[in-house]
Amino acid sequence: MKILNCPINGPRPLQEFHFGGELRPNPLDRKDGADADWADYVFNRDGEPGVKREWWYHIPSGTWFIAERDNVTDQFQRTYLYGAEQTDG
Amino acid sequence: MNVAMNPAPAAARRSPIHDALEARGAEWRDVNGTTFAVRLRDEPAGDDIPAAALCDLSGLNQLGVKGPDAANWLSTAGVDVPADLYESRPLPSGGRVVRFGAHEFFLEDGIAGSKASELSEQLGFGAEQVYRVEHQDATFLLTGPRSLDVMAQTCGIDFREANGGRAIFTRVAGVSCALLPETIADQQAFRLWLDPSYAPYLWEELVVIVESLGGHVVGAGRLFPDLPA
Amino acid sequence: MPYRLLKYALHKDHPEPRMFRAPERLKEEYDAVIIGGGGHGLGAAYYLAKEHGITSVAVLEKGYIGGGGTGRNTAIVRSNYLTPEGARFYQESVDLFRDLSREFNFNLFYSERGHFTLAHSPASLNTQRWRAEVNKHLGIDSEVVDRAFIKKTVPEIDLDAGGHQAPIYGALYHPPGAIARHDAVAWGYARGADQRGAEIHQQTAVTGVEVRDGEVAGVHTDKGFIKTRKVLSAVAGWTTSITRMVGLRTPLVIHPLQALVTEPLKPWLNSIVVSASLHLYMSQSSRGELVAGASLDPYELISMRSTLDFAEGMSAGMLDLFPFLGDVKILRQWAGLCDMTPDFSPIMGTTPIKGFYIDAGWGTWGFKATPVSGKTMAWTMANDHDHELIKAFNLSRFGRFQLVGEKGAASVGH
Repeated sequence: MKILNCPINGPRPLQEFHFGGELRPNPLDRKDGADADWADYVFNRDGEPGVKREWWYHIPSGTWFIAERDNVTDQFQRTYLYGAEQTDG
Repeated sequence: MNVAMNPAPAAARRSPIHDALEARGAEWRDVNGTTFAVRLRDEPAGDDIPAAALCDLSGLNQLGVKGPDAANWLSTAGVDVPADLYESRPLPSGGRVVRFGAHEFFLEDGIAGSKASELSEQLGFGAEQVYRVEHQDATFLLTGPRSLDVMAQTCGIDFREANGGRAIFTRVAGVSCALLPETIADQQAFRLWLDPSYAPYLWEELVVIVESLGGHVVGAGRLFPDLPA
Repeated sequence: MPYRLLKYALHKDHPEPRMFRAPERLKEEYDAVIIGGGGHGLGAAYYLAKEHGITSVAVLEKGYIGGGGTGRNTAIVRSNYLTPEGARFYQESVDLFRDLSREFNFNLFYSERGHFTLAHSPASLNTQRWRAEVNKHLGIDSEVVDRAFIKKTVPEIDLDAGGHQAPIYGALYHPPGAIARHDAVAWGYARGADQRGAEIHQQTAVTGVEVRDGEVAGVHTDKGFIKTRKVLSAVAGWTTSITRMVGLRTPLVIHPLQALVTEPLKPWLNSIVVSASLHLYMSQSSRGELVAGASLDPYELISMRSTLDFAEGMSAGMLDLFPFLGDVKILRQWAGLCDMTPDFSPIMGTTPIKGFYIDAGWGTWGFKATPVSGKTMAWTMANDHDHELIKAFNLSRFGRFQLVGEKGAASVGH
């Protein structure tokens, strides 16, 4: 059984989680509004192999958090609440 | 609409598994505006708690509150406010209060006691920055010497090491639950709170497992002999 | 007994030549380089030589041919798609598939079985009616059938799913739905391409694509540099590693999709049975094994690992429909990579980089498109502009917000 460590609820089986996609900059922070930039934000993804920062959701408790995961080896490297990257490992 | 001005609904709650209990010949009794199955037709005779006992307590009065002033409001009302996340404390006259978040609390009256329902009626009159979180959770109680085995079959957490009195959010047979390990009549027990729409499914699953371990579905009267008449 | 076979029995060695040559080393320069020795890449090499006379072609495969998506799918071919672009494209593929064994002189075991998409609710049945009408309008043999028809065609099915799932209300039925021996498709194209002069280099990994002034200049491999002005990336689940080399952004995300086969049984299941509600599609191969696939794994992963979750869930779905399989053993399970697009249509054709062509976004629908992809990509490379059938699938559609929403695609949640 694969285990993921929720920053609030601790280690839990992966079945308790939902994958929320890659962590991306807030589009409202963009200064420009060109169609091409907007299309890039809406559709394009960083689907390359490597360690990714991703949103994950602990379903029973309703906790969204960030996980750093290698999308080739499927190893979770660390998890933390959004914005708590510096303080929590 | 000003949510805080809404008084709590006064109608008695009915368990989401009312029909399943009715089919087992439930003997009903109204306690504090709630209808409980106190005894079921096929329960073993006597008062012993079987190897595993599954009991429906849905209908206990519940109250969810959140907001920056929620802890203070509860404390002023005489509630012993849990300090840590997921910690639970007893309510003054029966029942429990559990901290669900930094500013969120869940209260449930016991078979005796009415603190949650009293506070529910007071909420919204003069309390600033305290908001109701609507809860219509089903409440199941599982106890008996083999209740750990039931949890082992349905859930990914090893409850042999679980810290009593602390709530755990997990999935039981695939259903998201808040779960509170407790002790009833010197027996390990688990209280499960869940969305009522999943209650009939989870009840059915738990009944199959409990009965396969030599346990029984029991009425509230067996676990709470002092249930008010 | 064929004379050829008898001759082998009497000989000490077996003079039957290999399917294709194994060239010793790469040349310095080719007219075109194809990255990826799957069905699509080999198909493109085949049609480049056969239809466009371009024979100085190297197919570079980092593993062995047909070892990726080509050999890992559940080998289903059908054309009951929903968009005019998709239906036209896949129908052309079905037409090509039908003649392919003869064209190759090589048996692909292409076998038309009839394809059921089961509806487990009245709402789902309405969707199937819609699909059937759209299909008919596009000239595709497709209709809605009732429970009695399903039961008559597949007598072993439990139409009420044992009471564990919603009952079956009816199905979309697509008579030309077929299965084929997928490895053979890769081998057939490989042999055909090889006989016409293309080179197939296995165990050759691409490490970089050289782009000068917006034009392709060559390909770096672990066996040295090759000069070329045309490169096709036909690597499906590994596309994001190649597009990174040339700095192209794409919407592709990679998810594994798992499948399994059971031990071989006597033939009993003639049809292909698909249930979106149970996340299941199933057929019986010419070897007698039941081949079954699921939906995508729930999160992105560029790895072909297998999980117990899948084997459990798949078995549960199979038993709901066919309870008598309870004692049948699973022989093996595996995963393939699906490069998913947001609109469930492929990404094909030219790119902003001159000479760099892409054949990707094959998600869960790649095998059935093998012949038509090979053919249209070869045309596109030879003419340096997109073939009519694939114009709608160009990578630039995302920038223009002109997606081709293909809701007829397999094993994706809609």
